[in-house]
Amino acid sequence: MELEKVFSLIDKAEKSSFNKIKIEMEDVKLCLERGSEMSVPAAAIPAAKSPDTSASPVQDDKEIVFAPISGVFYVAKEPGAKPFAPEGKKVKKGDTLCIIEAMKMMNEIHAPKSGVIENVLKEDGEAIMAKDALFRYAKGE
Amino acid sequence: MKTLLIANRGEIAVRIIRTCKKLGLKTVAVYAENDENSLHTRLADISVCIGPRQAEKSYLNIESILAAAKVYNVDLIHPGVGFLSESAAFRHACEEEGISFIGPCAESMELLGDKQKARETMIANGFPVVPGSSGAVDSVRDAVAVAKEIGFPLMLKASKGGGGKGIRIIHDAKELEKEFPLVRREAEMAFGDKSIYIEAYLENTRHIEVQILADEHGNTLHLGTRECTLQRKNQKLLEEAPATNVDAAVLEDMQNKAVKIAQCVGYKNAGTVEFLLTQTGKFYFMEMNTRIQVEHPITENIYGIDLIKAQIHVALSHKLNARQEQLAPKGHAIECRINAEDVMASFRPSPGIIDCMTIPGGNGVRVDTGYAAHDEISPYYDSMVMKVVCMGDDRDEAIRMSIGALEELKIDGISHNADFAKHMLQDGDFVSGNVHTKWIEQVFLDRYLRGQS
Repeated sequence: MELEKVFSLIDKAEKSSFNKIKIEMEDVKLCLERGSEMSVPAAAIPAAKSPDTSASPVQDDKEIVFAPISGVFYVAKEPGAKPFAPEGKKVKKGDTLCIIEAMKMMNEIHAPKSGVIENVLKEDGEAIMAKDALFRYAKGE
Repeated sequence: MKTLLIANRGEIAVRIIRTCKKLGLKTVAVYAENDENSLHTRLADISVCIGPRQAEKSYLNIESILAAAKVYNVDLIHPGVGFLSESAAFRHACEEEGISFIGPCAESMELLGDKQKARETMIANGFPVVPGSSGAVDSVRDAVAVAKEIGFPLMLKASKGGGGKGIRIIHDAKELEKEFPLVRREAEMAFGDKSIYIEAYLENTRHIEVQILADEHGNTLHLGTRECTLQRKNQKLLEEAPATNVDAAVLEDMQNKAVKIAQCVGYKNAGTVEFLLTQTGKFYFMEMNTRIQVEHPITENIYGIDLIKAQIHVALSHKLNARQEQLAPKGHAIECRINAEDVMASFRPSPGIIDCMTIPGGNGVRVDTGYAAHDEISPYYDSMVMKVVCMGDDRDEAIRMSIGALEELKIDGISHNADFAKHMLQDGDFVSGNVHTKWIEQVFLDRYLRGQS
C-alpha cells in the first residue's frame, strides 16, 4: 500500500466517530486508535494498551500495568531489599509495585487494582520506556 | 592554544563551551553513550565517549574522564555543577596528571563539603550559624540536651549531606528518641558516614547567598547577593539578583561576612556562601558551595562579568583585575528554571523528545539550555531543560520581561513548569517579597492548582 493512501486513511479515521479502526489486507495490517499515541501494525501492538485510555471498552487489557514514564525499573526499595510485588504476590489497589527512577527522582508506581501478580515483565535495573508493560495480573482476579 | 575539557553535560557544559570559544580555547566534551548526539557534544571541538548512561560509569567516572584528558593533552578541566564538581578526589586526580582543575583547592573542598566541619569552623571563627549542636551528636542523651537548649522543632542533619538531602525535622522529645538512631543509620547508608548534628528549625526564613570570586594573589571579591527563596522540596526554582526587600545594612553585612568566610578558609576561585535570613533580619551561615552555581547568570547580568571566564583566569593563576570598590551592580535580573515535569501530576518527571521549541529572545533576555529541537530530555539525568534569565533596569521591569519571555516560550513533546513559573511572577506575595523557603509548598501551590481547576 502506498504511503499516501495510509495517510489519507489516517485523515479519514481522525474525522470519523470510531475509536478504533482495524484494516487487514494481503500485505498490510493497520490499526488506528484514538487516545493512543501509537498507530502501528497490529502485530506490533502489545497484548494490551495503556490503562489510561478509559474511553475504550473493557477487555482483557486491564490486566497489564504500564510505565507512565521512561526511566530505570526497580523491583525493590533498595538493592538487596524484598521486592514489592514478586510473581505470585497478592496486591491491593494502591500498593507500591515498583520504582521507576527518572531524573534523579524515585517514582513509586502503584497497583491500579487488587489482584495477584502473574508476571514481572522487566528485569530489576532495566532501562524502560514510557508505555512499556511492567506487570501482568493473573487472570480472573 | 590551550585545551579545556568539560566534565559535565547539558546546559552547563554548553555554557562553558561558549566561554571557551570566546577565549579561543579548544574544547573537549565528554559524554555517556546515550548523549552521543546531545548539544554539548555537537558544539565542542572534540567529543569523547566516557562510558554508558549510568552516571557512576561515565560522568562520575574519574578514571575514564582523565583517560580522555590525557589522549587530548588537556590543560584545564571544568567540572561544571553537580557530578564531580565538589569532589576533592577528582581534584587530586587532576593534579596528579598535571591538569588544572577549575575550582578551589582540595582542602577548601574537603572542609566545606563536610557540613558539620564547616559549621565548627564558622563557630570557631565567630561567624553566625543556626543555633544547634557545636559538633556531631553521638547519643540520644546528647541530642536531648541540645534540644533542651534550642527547643523544638529542630533538624537532624547528616554531616556529609547537603543540597537539601539527609535532613529530618523533629517536633518533640518522643520523636527525637525514636528518629535519632534511624537518621544515623540513613546517613550511614546514604553518605557513608553516620555522624549527624542538630540545628534549630527556623520558620519563615529566606535563602540569600553571596557570590565570591578569589584569586591566588590574595584578592577576594564579592559579587553581591542573590535571593533563592523560591524553592520546592529544597530545589531552587526562581532566583533574582540582587536580593531585594532586605535592609541594605543587612545585605552589606552579609556581603562582608561572606568575603571574610572565604578568606578564613583560604578560598580560591568562584564560590557561594549561602545564608538563611530570618524575619527579624538575623542571618546565619548555611553552607559554602565550592563550585559555580546554576544561578550564576543573574550575577553575570548585573555585574557585566563572565564568571566562567573569571574562573578560567583564576585557574591559570591570573590576578583578578578589579577592586571591590570598582564593582557596582546595575539593574535587576531574574532566572526561571524550566524543568521537564508535569506540575498537574504532582511534578512527575516528564522525560521525552522535544518535538519543536520556540525560545524567547530580545534585548536583556538570555536562555541557557543544553537542548535543541528534536533532542531527548533523558530520564537518566536531572530535569532542568533551560534557564530563562531576564535583566531589566529594575525589579518590576525584570518581572514583566520574565512573564513575557515565559509566554513566548513553547516546548512541545514534554510537560514543563513555565506556566507555573509565570503565575509565581504574577503573585502578589512574590511581587511584594512576602515569601519564605516553604512558600511554594505551603501557600502558592494550592493557589495555583485552584486557579487551574
